Amino acid sequence: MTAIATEIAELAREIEAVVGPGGLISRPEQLRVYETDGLTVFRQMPALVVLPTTTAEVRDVVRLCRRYAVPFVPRGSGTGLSGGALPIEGCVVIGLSKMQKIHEVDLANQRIVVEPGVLNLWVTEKVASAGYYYAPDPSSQQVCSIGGNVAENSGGAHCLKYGFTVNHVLGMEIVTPDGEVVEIGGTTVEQPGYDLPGIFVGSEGMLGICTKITLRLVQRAEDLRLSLVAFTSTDAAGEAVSGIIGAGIVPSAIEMMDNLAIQATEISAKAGYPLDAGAVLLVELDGRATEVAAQQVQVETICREAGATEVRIARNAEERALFWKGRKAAFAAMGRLSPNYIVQDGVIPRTTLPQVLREIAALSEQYGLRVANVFHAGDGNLHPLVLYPEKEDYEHAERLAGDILKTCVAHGGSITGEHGVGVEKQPYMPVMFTEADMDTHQMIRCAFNPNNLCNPGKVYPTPRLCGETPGKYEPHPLELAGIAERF
Amino acid sequence: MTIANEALLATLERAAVGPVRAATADDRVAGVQPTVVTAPTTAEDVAALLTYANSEQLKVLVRGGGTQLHLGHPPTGGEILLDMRGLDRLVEHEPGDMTATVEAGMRLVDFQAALSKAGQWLALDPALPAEATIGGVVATAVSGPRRLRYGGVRDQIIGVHVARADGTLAKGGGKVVKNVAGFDLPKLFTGSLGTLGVIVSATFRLYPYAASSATAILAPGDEAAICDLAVKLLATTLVPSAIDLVGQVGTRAATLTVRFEGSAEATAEQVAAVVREAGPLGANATTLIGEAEADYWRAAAAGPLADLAAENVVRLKVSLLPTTVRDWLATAHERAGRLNLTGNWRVHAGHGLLDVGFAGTPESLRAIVADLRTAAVAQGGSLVVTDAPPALLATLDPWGSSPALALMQRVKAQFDPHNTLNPGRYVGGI
Repeated sequence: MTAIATEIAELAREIEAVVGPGGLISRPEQLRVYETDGLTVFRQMPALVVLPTTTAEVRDVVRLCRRYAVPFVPRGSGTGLSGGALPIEGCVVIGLSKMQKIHEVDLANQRIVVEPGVLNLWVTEKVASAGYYYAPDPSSQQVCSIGGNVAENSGGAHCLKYGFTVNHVLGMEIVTPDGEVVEIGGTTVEQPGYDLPGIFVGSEGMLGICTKITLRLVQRAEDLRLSLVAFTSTDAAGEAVSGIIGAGIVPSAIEMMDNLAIQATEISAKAGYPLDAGAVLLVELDGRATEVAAQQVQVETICREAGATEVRIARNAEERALFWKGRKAAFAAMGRLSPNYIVQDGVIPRTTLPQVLREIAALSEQYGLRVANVFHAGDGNLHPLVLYPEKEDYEHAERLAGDILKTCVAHGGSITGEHGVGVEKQPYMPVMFTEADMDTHQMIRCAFNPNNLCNPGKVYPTPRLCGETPGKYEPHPLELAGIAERF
Repeated sequence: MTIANEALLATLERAAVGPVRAATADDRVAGVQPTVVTAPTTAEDVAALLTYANSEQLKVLVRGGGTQLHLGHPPTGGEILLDMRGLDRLVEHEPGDMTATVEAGMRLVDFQAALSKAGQWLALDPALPAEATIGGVVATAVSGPRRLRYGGVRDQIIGVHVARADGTLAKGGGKVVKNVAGFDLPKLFTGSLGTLGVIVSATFRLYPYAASSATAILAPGDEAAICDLAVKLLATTLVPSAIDLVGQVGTRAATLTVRFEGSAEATAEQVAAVVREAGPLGANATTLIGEAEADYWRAAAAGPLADLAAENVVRLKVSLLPTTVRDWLATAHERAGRLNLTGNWRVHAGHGLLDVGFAGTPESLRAIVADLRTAAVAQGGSLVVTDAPPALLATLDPWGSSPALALMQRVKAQFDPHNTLNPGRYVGGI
């Protein structure tokens, strides 16, 4: 046995004493399940996987990892699309899927307290009969966990009106990378001091592990209408989106799909989308019935003026579910068009949509690869799907996807709206941020995770050393010359 | 009379940090007298000043409109007062994207006036005087009645440019509403009271003006019953922008004010629904629209201290679960009565933030802060003293404790290791 293997074996024995034999996975064939997350193109076997069931177990496992100086990677349901839960060599994966308790439901105050392994949809299911729901609804909501949502600051189709995970998390119990259990935030809207929940949400597993989360619940609206609107082109659909927003309407969702995306989703979901449309919009309005009825008339008028060829209003809950099925199945449906594809997650200012779509079309032609487009059009979040028939073309497709992200940033946007940076978009962080920006962000990581054992190697291309003498960031002459990187 | 340190003044004049002058007694921050005031007009000036101050171990106090300089502990030092009002430009407003970027020194009212030309606004309505600047609003995370519908600063800020304590200029977030690239620096700086860096500019998501607005004001009624009604309204499908309760020490009669925004039909229909839900409490309710409504809310923004004597007054921000407001107010009545204090409050009953003022002797004010903080914390809430005379402030803890203080201290140590910025003012003496 090598020294490292011996050390891991000792660590495994100590971890097993904490979580019991059922909570530790060390056999290679079982570890393989954890070698990747929703971004399957990257794979790395972990040394061990631990499945704790309580906060105390999480704390003790973290402390052991720290004592052995072994990196650890938190993991929820493993549905992330940016490789945030990708193991690193020799690491311990701490899976939170066994922490599935719902501790408290407080409907009068519209709060619920859950453990990280609780699935997103369960929260809504728990309170639906009382007329409440949990607003953030990533497309993977049937399988993704609240802990994962917290790590990624997950969005979904309804965040245009209702906000992202961060707007719905009031407080958390966390285990810090040092193995301390700390309450951050609370159950009320404000607590004194820095907004630690605000920075913990979306920190992609680098600031610790949340073990209990207080979420806001939302009252189900009195009325809700969903329309499927067909257009001859994405330009016309984009014009309708601008018109709706410009009229002062904040729909609960506006989703757009282009023709290629429609073709794909119709093969699998059979939602009845018009196959000859250049683009479709799903427009959902919610609120008081009087308001929704008036806005529906406005939306139809705006869409017709923008050249809509068909406006179909869902007549009942089944039809609404069917319309949504077409949208939510879009990613998976790409498999019908191409065995391999890359999902991207760029964001642009809404007004630049027509220009950016033209640039994406030009890039698609230049690279000779098809790109289907699915967007959260209301907030400018694009999900271009880059299709590549042969596995060997991955790098070529990845370059195209990267060029799309650069286009988004050039128009004032972002490289990721909801999927996170993870390992996938790490190379593009410098397109958005300067070295000084990233150095500053990482001060947060240094405060929480100075030893960089908690999910190392994610998001930022170059880890900041936390013990550096404080001083103004000055690039080293070798860095300026492009000879050396800063470590 | 000026209190200038001539050498410091001369050094700063040479250091290209923007306009510099000797400080006067008017420049005091919670009783602490700076010696020099700088009034930069660019981010680079701010950075240059901080680089110098940080390397020379000089303490820097930061001010915007000066409306909240009594928030927090009195600073433990401060040779330089950094007056941010010279950075007052609207950097960018793209109405089609409903976002805008603004420099920190611009007054909130001027920002709103600029946005209103496109029928939009930053959906924050804090009860602060017109002098309040964007930087101050972000650094103190203040909100107002309509937080119920639109959220607070943290829910609306999408990007920030800051000057670090060591003078490094850096940014976080961006200018699109949806963005998860990198740690959320905008949220970290929201409410950080200038202790981590100086906010140079910020980007916000905006909202369109509603087509119409209407406010229902119920006739004064039993405060406890009003609290129950507010909780009941939360459980309906009504979509209020604000649910405010206004009350005062000594009388158990309070008024409930509920505001709706949307189409004229929807606001009218919802006002009627509130009156229905209110039952007997809904008798003799009045509805305000148009100028009368705007006047009401302008007066409300003047805050609950308007009719209290200026001397020996504390103003508190209390955060509670909506269902615990009723019992907390009962405790407030009881304790204030026993301590012979006058006081009043505006309770944002829908989201559980209370703006409370008390007047009385320093000893009784100290006692009520302690008692009511205990009552708030026992229910998972908090109590922060947002304003008090410096002499009183020096003898109480304006913040209360935080279980996460050690983590906060580590954040401070990373961003401002020499403790250059607003030293001592924040939670736990950060």
